[in-house]
Amino acid sequence: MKSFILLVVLGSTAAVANDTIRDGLKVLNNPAGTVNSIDCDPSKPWCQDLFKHACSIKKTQNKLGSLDRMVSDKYWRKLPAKPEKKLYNNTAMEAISTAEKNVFSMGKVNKAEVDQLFFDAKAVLLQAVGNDPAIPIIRRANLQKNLSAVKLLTGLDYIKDLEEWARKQDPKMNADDRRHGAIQMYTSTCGANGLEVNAFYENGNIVLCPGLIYSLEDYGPKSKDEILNALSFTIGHELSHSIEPETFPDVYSKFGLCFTETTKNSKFWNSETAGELSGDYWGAKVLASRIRVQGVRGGNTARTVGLSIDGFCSETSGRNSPQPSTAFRVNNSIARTPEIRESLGCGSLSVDAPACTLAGAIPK
Amino acid sequence: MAGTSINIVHPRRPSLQKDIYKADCAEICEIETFSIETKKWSAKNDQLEIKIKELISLHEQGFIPRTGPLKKHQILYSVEASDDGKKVDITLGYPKSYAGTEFSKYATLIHLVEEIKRMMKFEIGEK
Repeated sequence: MKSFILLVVLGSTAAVANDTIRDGLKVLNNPAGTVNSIDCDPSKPWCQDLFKHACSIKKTQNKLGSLDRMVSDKYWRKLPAKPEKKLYNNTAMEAISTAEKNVFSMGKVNKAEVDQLFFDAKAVLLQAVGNDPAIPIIRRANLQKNLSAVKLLTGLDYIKDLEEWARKQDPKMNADDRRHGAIQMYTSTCGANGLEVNAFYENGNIVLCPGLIYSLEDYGPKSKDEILNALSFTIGHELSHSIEPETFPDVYSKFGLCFTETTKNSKFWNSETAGELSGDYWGAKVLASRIRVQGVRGGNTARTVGLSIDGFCSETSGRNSPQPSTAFRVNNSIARTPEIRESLGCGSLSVDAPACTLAGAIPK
Repeated sequence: MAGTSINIVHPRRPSLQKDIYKADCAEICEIETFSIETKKWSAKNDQLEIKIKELISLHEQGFIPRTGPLKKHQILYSVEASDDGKKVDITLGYPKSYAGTEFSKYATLIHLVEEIKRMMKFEIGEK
């Protein structure tokens, strides 16, 4: 009798394993269609409200603050109250350079790994654009051309690039004034030492402030992949500004319509929301490509999303709240990306709460 | 000096959370900053009012750079300032949106905005 029961248990286990393998293979081939058939434990908090869960993941230390103070003490405290421009410029360049070197030597990831991450993210998007049947064939070459041209710059690269550009714009401008202006433009976004949690896309260049990278250390990441995965979302998002809805409206028409219909707000898809929602769409694609290969699932995926949205969770006040809201972006866009949803192990999407893709709503 | 105010809004990316530097000055300045967390305090500071007036003066003299249409991710700052009824409302993009001699005006304006931010962050201490 015991042997019989053992055989039944073993047989059931094998059947479940086979079913799991079959479902897994189907997901690889058709993630959007199969995700509806994967059972999910409704008690998984990230499935109920991914934004709330992701924002509950807190930083456990303040390495970023310590580094910022160290660099400021080393360079800025010694500066006189109203320094002459050359001295200010030299101080700023040294501070920015030191901060960046420390980020890449004291942190889990180095510059070469971030550069490779950027290269890989671009490759993912180039392939996605080339293979997506929802993208008109006549558009693919231009999308790919724009993506291919994007460069990732360090702070110092950006300052020097801007100086050269400024020299061509106004050759009469004094060199110290030119450098001063370029430094101020960089530090206005990335902070005096480049350690603000921020990034930007400008005219085919992406700059990740080193603070954005080092901030992730404060979550106590278990591996460098945790950091690289989180950064991959930001890189994908910023890359997408080279292929925006305003430039390629026909590519995103069904995507935008999906949001209009699901929010029941005919004005929801507009110049304010479109660029960010499309950015999150492509950012999620890049993130999903990495976590799928690594086999990241469930709570670990939710944690990865939490690190990816570092900075999304701060309190905002009234009229200065971003549109669309960060909660909407996470719960209605990122969480519903079919590949991310499968990795989270959450339940079926529905026609009332679909994923918005370039092909429109999934499921329809 | 009385009746000056400034509101500088600077969206972070990709979160779009907005850093805010706000001051309303009459006898004293009511200052509010938001950068990850909110801080509010009062301080008497003539220098801040002088800088706000300087910004208004730049506008009156035509030294604000011309900004064409900007997509949302191209906005670096929104700045609203007022001084005794005179108002200025400026949206600034990233540097390469400003060609030719507009770039010099842009550099001057960024320097002034950054100076005002620095004053609010570091020089006019929280009381």
